[in-house]
Amino acid sequence: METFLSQLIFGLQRGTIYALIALGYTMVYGVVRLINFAYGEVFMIGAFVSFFLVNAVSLPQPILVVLALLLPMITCSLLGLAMDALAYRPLRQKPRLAALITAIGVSFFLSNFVSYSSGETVRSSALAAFIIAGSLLLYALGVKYLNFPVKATPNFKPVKFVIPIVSLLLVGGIFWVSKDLLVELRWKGSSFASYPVERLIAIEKIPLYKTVYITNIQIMNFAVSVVLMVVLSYLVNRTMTGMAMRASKNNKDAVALMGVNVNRVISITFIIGTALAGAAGVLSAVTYPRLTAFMGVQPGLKAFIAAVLGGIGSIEGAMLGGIIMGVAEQFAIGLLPSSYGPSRIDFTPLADGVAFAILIVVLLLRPQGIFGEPPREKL
Amino acid sequence: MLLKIVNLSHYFGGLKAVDDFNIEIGPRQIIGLIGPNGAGKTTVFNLVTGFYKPTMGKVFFQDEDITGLPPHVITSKGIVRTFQNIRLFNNMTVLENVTIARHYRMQYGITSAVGRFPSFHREEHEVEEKALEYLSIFHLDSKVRQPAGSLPYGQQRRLEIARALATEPKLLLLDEPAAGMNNAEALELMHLIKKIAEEFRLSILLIEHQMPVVMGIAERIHVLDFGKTIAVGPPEEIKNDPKVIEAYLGEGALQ
Amino acid sequence: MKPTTYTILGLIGFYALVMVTSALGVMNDYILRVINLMMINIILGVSLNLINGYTGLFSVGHAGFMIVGGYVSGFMTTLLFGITKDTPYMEALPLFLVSILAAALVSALVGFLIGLPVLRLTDDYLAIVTIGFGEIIRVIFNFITFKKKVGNWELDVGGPRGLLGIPPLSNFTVIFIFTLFTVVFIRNFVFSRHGRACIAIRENEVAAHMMGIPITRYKVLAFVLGSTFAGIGGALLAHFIQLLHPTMGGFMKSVEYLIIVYLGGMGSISGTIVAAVALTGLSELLRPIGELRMVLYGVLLVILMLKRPGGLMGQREFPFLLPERERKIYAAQNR
Repeated sequence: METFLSQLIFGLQRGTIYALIALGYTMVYGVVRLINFAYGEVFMIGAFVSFFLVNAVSLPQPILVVLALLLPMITCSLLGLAMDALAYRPLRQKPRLAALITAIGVSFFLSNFVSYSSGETVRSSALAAFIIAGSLLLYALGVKYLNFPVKATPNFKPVKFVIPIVSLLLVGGIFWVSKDLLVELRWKGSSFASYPVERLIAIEKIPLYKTVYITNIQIMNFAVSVVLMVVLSYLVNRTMTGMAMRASKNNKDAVALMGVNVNRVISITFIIGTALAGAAGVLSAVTYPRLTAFMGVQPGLKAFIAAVLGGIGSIEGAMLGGIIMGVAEQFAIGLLPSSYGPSRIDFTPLADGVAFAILIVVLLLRPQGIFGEPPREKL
Repeated sequence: MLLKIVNLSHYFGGLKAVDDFNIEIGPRQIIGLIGPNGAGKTTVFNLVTGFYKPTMGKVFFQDEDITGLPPHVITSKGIVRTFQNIRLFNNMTVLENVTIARHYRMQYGITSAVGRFPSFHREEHEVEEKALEYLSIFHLDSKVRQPAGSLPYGQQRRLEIARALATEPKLLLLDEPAAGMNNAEALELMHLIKKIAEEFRLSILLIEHQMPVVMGIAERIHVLDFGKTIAVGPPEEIKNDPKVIEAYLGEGALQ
Repeated sequence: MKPTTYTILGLIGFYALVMVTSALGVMNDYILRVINLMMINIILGVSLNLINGYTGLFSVGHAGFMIVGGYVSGFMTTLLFGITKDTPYMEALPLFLVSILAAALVSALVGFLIGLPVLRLTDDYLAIVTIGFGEIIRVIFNFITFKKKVGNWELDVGGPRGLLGIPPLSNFTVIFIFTLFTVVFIRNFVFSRHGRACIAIRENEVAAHMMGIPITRYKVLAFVLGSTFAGIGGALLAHFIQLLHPTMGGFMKSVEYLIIVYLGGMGSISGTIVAAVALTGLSELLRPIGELRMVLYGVLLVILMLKRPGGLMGQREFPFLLPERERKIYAAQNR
């Protein structure tokens, strides 16, 4: 009973992380019918930005905690904006396959970029992260206030690249000034970076029932996830933008005819998704402090499966699907023996297979997922 | 009796797209299927050709129950259709679009293909000749090696019909073949359809909005509105049927 | 002389050139190695092109089939037949060929089992499932270990260390012949009614169905053929680089094969060949910068889709690959 409860708690923790990423997938898919393969990588970048921040600055704890969550979310939103503007928006009218391949390309690029730039010193990767964040921040500001063209036009406009270059120099400069802060952090791409959770908050276990306990970190995670989901629900159900998003899911053309800037709605959907993925990255980093450049690949896949399980396009489905996925996986880890028989075979990696087993079952039995509508093709 | 449809109904969720549709088509008949947009005409086509499984009702072709069979099987039985929005194989040549239609009648297997056995060469040659025959009827033989997607609209429509014909059907379902054509082109098409019906001894079930075309060649017309059949009869009757006029122009149009 | 004769002479010439320069010691070992890798990548690219390019599916797990073939034949030669580096080649060769056959069959079976339930899914779901398949294969092979007594010592292979000590049975001749076989097979398949059926499915599935093509059957067929040749490629690769590791069957590798197909052009065997050669060459050239290479691949994919989604050759083929009739027309059009 106790193992069950404690596994349940761990499972819920996993599940909320999956749910946050799944929300991003489901919202984007609902509007543009595109699986954004790169969400896993955004998740990873969120974790790393938080990592750099926590290592680089020392601020009073409450502020640090908030910042450690907010800055990655902002960075990831901007990253989403850039991805959308550079890679996805130009392909909106083209066949879906092109967008899929681009998404794979972006995901490939991000994970390998972080892996590559994490060489002997962490300087280059930190530089990379801050450059991305900084330049995108300025780019976004340019979009907002200078009427900057976001759409990639066939006619090349050199002015489009001025702001990123200026921001590159600016942020690079800021970083260069603070480089010594990070010089003692060394890690290589193939091994992992260890997230210094202690700098954020001291881990405390709170006993619940006999030997079952919950840590303050887990409580924090749950709280953050719930808050985010509530905010998201509010956004989607109670604001005009949210309504536009829901309407676009059904009929993009009708929405456009009603004066809604569909491209903007899609971009906003995108950015919300990446922000959530970034948040999930931070929560994951705090819970499972091993960070690698490729840590986003598996969660990305599994979160998508969770979205499929819940019904792709459905927000409640993503939340439910994520939680089910997390709990199922956790139980699998708990049940599978980690040293079996005389040769001590460790079966726990097979828990990864749970996700794919779920996928196969869903696709065979109920392809539309829990909350989805039955598929129909227009002839 | 070539085609016999009995009590055909189909629901999409709560919506009844087709409500108790019945029809009988004999050999060498041209029948029209008309009705306002959304009346369920294309759905009937989809049901007959196996793209949907009907919620209720049966489809008999040459006394065989073909209800719910997959499309490629239905084609082999002798029913073929064209599509409202042209569905050509755009990147394949005009010739290839037609030779593909002969696919199910060809025999040679993968081994013959890979080994380039005599049966491969023989059948490919036959099929190409046959395809050229069909293409010349539609005056497309000069465009044979062009990608189908590069053809002007009118020729694309003709190619689609040529392709359908190449399957050697007994029943041809045409879904708005004259869409996008002006009156003159539409009438020309009408004559063409009449000609091929005679020459190839086909029956044709025709969905069409351009009245001159339908009235000109159909010997009998079924009218659908909201899935229900509201009138059946020869063109002159249908033309003057108040229910039909109301369906198209709205209630009170006759006032 | 007919173009086919030119082609055959060219191939014989190429083969002879390599063999003679190797025998004379003039051929650089490294270059020979690269040539062999290029040919193996051709096999894998062309087989994936059948699935993704010609039939229009979106399989992102091709490396999985490759590695299944590699492991099957690798296990067979090391464990079952007990071939080692010292086994005389003439003795080992027939067993090697048997193991390749086994690899092909197993890959085909796996392709069939995966393909049947999954091929009615749309692009995006298919991508996820095939990626998942690749990952599952990786996990499975991370697991499988064999212990066996061979002679005096115990062989303990597999698992996270990978499969080591695979005898180097893939030489230039064997690889050359299989590559030739693959290209000819797939080229003949594509330029036949079966290939046309696959292309029709890609162009417009609904219309293809209406034209009498059993679409599920052909999708599975393309998938199985593709996986079979991938398995053969895997077997050849395993016995060339003499080792196999579970990560070689994962997403990363599958993406490399995707690049070969889409870079070359979806409906073009020639394009795939060119892309395979180019990518393998590029890979070697960029080896010094290590992982930056992978970063560039990602960028390459994005730029490719933005600027030239048709790939290098689109749907066009080199004249020597086209069937005679098409070749005459091609020549006539370009006069």
